[in-house]
Amino acid sequence: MDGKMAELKGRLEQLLKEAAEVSVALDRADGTIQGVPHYSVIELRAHELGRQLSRRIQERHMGEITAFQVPKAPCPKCGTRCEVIPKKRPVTSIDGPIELQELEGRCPFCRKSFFPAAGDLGSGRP
Amino acid sequence: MGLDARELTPTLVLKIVVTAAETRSFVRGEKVMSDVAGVPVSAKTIQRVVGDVGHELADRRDADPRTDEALGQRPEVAPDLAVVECDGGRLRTREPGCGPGVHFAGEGWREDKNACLIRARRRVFDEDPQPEPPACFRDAKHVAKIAETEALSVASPLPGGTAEHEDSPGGVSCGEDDWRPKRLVRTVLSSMACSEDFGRQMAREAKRRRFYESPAKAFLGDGLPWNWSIWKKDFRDFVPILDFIHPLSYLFVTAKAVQESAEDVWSQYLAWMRGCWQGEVLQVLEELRQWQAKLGPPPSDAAESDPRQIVAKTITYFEHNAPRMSYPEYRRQGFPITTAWMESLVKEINYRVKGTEMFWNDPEGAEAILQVRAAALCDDDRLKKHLRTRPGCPFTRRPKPPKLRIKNRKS
Repeated sequence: MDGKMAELKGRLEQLLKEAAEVSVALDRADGTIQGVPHYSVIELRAHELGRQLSRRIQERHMGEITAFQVPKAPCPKCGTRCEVIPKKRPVTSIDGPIELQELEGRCPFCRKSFFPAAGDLGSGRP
Repeated sequence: MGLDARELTPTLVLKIVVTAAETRSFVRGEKVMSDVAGVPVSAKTIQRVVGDVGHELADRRDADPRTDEALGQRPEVAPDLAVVECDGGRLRTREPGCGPGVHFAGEGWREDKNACLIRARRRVFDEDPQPEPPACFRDAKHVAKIAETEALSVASPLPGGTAEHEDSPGGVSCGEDDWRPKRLVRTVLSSMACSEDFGRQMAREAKRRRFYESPAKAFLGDGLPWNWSIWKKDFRDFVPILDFIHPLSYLFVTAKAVQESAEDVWSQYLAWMRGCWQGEVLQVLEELRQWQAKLGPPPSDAAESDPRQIVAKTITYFEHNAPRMSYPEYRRQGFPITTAWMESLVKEINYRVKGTEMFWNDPEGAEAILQVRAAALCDDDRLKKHLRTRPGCPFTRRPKPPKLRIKNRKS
């Protein structure tokens, strides 16, 4: 487990380094940063990349959670087990708008759509 | 996962609510969210989120204090000194559901009720640690300001004190050997509820924080009757203490009514104030009765400014409150003798809820912002803790929340 963790951390470090290099090269290539800019320009560009990464991570996490959940969940109102299907849901996060994969169910008795609670689904993850 | 139908992530909701609690309006909150947090959120959305969260906080405030549903944290040990203070405030409301703009029901002013529950550290003394009143109560300008009268004209030619009180909220400044209790943890309640319901809210919070188990308990208020109704019903075994500042204004106004020259007014006030400070309240009361006998009883149609009426009101006030004015004993036990903590808190609450062009939907909008602001002012981080664990809403469309249970709000 420690070996796997170390490998993942090393890979992430390498990718972040590459992302930083590419971002700087792109900023120079498209003219966003020329010569010696005001530091705020550098700071804001870097921060925007961080926000993009954050959005990707959030979407990926939700995609993984959805992919490994069992396809049925109880209705929060009446408890009937209903089929749930993955749907895209636009949400605003602290790093801007994202589109999350989320399971949505519809109870035929309550005639209400619902988003199952995490604990109600269990995980189909092996 | 804490997501709800608002389509905002939980951390964004936290930022919105904290911003709404700390900025003076939802419109200013919109600007802060955009310019500081870097996320554009409309003022209307901020208002709606505050409505949702305010409702949740009210539910947890009213939960059984023996369960973890209650908002406050149960400490491992009871406080060394438990201090409860309460006071009323004023805010302006509008009638909801009447379209855009401000629609009044009556004058629009409503009373909100506020309380702080403070875990404090104290020192106990063999004797009164400060038998002489501090300089601020001998400062004519300061006293005139306390009395909220036109007394400056009387006070100004008199020997003035220093501005010592400026850096001492509540006016009691004690120099280096400070006998006053030290505030450790403050939690705050604020509501549009009637005094009976507000008393229950205070009692639940006190129970949750183990205030009833404390070896030293004090309850402070000014002369408002509902303060003492709450004490009588829910805090009977707390030592009742009348805010020392409050009788001062009565004494100053009465001294002005019975004496003529500025020097005599000031001397009279000083003698009475010193008497109260040193626990000789019954003697002060006796002197007031002598003045009443000399002036005669007020006729039934006496004006408010009639000296006979002023003396009669002060006598009644002292008769009602004398049992809560044993100030030397309170100081000896290390209790506070003013509601300075409360006065300071009311200012912090008013910063958010009271101001020009600030009107709240009556009562839901007002109650929601009071819950959010009160939670933000607590030392136990309860607002952030609530927002980090709120369950969200499982339904696609948010069910309409039930009406807040606020009854008899005009009391």
